Amino acid sequence: MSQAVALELRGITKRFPGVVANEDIHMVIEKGEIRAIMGENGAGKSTLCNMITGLLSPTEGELLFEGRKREFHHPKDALAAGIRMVYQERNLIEYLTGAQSICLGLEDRKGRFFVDEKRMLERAVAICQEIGADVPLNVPVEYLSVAQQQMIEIIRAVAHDPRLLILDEPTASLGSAEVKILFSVMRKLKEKGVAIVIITHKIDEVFEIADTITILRNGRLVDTVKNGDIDRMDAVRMMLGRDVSSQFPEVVNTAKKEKALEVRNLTDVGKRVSHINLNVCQGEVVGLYGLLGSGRTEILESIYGLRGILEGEVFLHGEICPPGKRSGDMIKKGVFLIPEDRRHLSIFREFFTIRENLSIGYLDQISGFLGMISRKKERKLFRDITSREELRVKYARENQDIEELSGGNQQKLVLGRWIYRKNLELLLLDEPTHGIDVGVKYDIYVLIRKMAARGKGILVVSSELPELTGICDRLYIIKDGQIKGELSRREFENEKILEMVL
Amino acid sequence: MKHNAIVDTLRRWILPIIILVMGTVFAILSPTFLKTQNLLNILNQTAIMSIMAIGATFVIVAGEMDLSFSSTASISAVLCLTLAIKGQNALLSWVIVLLIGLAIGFFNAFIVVKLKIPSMLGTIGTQILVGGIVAWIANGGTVWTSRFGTLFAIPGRALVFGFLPFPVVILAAVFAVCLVVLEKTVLGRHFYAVGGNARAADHAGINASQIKALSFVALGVLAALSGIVIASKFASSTCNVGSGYLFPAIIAVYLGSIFLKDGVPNMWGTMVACLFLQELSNGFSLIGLKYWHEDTTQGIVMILAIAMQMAGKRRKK
Ligand SMILES: Nc1ncnc2c1ncn2[C@@H]1O[C@H](COP(=O)(O)OP(=O)(O)OP(=O)(O)O)[C@@H](O)[C@H]1O
Ligand SMILES: [Mg+2]
Repeated sequence: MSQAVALELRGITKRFPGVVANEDIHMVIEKGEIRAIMGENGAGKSTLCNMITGLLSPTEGELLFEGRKREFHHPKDALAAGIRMVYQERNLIEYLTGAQSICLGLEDRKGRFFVDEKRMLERAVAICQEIGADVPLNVPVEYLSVAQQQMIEIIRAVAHDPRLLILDEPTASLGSAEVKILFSVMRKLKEKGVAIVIITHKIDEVFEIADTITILRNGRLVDTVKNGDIDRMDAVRMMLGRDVSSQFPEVVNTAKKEKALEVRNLTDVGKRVSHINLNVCQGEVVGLYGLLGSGRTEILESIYGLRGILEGEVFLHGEICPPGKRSGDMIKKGVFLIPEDRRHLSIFREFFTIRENLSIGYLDQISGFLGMISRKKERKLFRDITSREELRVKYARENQDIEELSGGNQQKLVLGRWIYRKNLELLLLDEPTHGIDVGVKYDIYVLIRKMAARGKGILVVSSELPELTGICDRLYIIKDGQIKGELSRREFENEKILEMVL
Repeated sequence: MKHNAIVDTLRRWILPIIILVMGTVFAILSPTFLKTQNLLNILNQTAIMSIMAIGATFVIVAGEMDLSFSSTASISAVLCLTLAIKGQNALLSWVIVLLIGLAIGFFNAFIVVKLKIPSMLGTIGTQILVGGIVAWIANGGTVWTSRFGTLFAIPGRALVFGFLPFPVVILAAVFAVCLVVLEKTVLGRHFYAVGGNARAADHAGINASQIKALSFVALGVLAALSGIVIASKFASSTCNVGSGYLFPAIIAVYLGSIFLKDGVPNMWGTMVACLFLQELSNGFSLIGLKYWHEDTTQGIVMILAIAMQMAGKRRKK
């Protein structure tokens, strides 16, 4: 075997009850190679990588790392061998600071027993400076935004000289500036001979950074090709087994005069956003674009009653919302928010199966006298929604834990929890396509436009500018908690927009 | 795969299986065990603790803990007796103690939901506070009476149809209502949502604070109800009569969470676990073993059952 091979997988198969997640996977990754793994939601990408780090163990097959046959039974074994991974679901310890998180397990010591907090912070600051990342390092990570937390995870993985680095959808919650930093770090590591595996649903990113591309479908390896040998269409066809003709549906203006939502001069209690004026008409899709931390999420939360309002008013269908309203009141009025932080704000990991995770959005529609829930209706609802053409949630059993679904399928379930509500009037979407594959993305865009055509108002936050320019009728540009501009569809120009946010 | 399904089912039904196995052993060792009278005894003896455990299930499902309900039961029992000694109408005293249970529930809700004190700590405060008040009322000792009215005697002593102890009737009613509420209704689903992920519940339009408050109030009232039964049944009460029920009731909720659902506290589970604990103590005393034997066995069974549970969860990897 040549010295250049970092990782070799031989006939790896992984079976879960009711699902074959990976079947007979063979793969060779060389040192200094950046390998992208692509595939639709539930194709088996995360499962494959989790087996490399010992989080899961393969049902069959063997794994060779740097020419030696290895069996990792626990992530710590893989860590010891020099394998680092950024998992799809963030798993930081909330009360540790950024610096403590980055150095977790490799703390600096004073003497034998005492942790040297000062040196640790210095070390973390130095690492961040070297790679050009700007994240707060001495506050508990629970106070950081999703993107900042993600950067901490990435820094933690790259900081300790990995020899194999695995990144599972690292860019899903990053903005373009952060993605740039990540890619430059990856290139530096590549120079040093580090092998890198990256999973992402963003095809442009793959073409930008990868040397080679492996495509999985239904747990099987379709092909491994050199970057440059295939184009976007080929990649999509290999992933989905069918063609997706375009990225975005045709946008037809269906906006009415009546306003579904109007926000006047809104400032939140924490003053994260100030003097916000915006509106969404019935039948209109409106985007909020801004850098991470610009206050996009805070605007949605203030509208939804999850964040106190210091000043200003929110009108729904011309009616003022009394201050002190709660999310429950909004839901009664047909307003729904799908938050960005899925793990903490959307999914019920304990106590609930996937069926209950979905039906929590429809309890009033499936219950009768005295609030008694009809199990029959609940099952029917679950099957109806999960089999919708545009969602196609992939699951094995209705009473599975939600964490057993692939990341993208969790997101589809969370979308499904609200978007088919009968009383829906206004939808607030925060990164709605987070972790969703290209095929389903298109279907969700179509669905959003269809809802608009039926007169619903939709307000979308996204870090992906092409997504917003692709589906929105109008766009607000946010910077530092304020609205910096408003563009109608005719005026969408990427350069102009980017200039405004910087 | 078939094999796994069987193992899973066995694991979920392990509690009733243990109950049957132990029942068989007790029946062999003691001829009285299986007599109808003794089985009714088991139900009668478990009623007081079960009512508390049912209340505690709400709190634990909602993701909180309450360590004060023992004091609530004590104050309820002691007050019932004190009022009976003073010649008060039993009905009035019941209303009073149920209201006190309600008030203690609201107090717990206030310190946990509004003051944001972790419930494990806050409710210990309540326990000590209320415990102090009971001791004050009871003058630090025991309250008892032999002169009480027929009404007063009903909850603890009456026999319905001449054979069914009244505490069992109360338990059956409480269990039926709470089972339906927690497992079948939207409100019950909201309890689980809040306990599973309070922030996600808030986003889903559920008022998590309200649900948590409601769970404390429900337990407060049920603990007061069990105090009424204690007073009536024994006609005497020490000032910390409830404390003996505190841990068994909480243990029952956790032990019960392995029944049917994998580690999710639930009403059926709580009830089955209460029966199990009572069977153990009844059977052991019938065959002449001491309470320390019972404690040891209880500990072993509990750890084994939960270990099985965890093994089942791990296997999913
Ligand atoms: N712990 C588990 N138990 C049961 N099934 C599982 C488990 N983990 C994953 N699966 C199943 O294995 C399949 C592959 O999942 P995996 O998470 O690897 O997909 P993925 O390619 O990473 O998808 P995504 O793009 O949505 O993240 C899915 O059908 C999923 O439901
Ligand atoms: Mg994945």
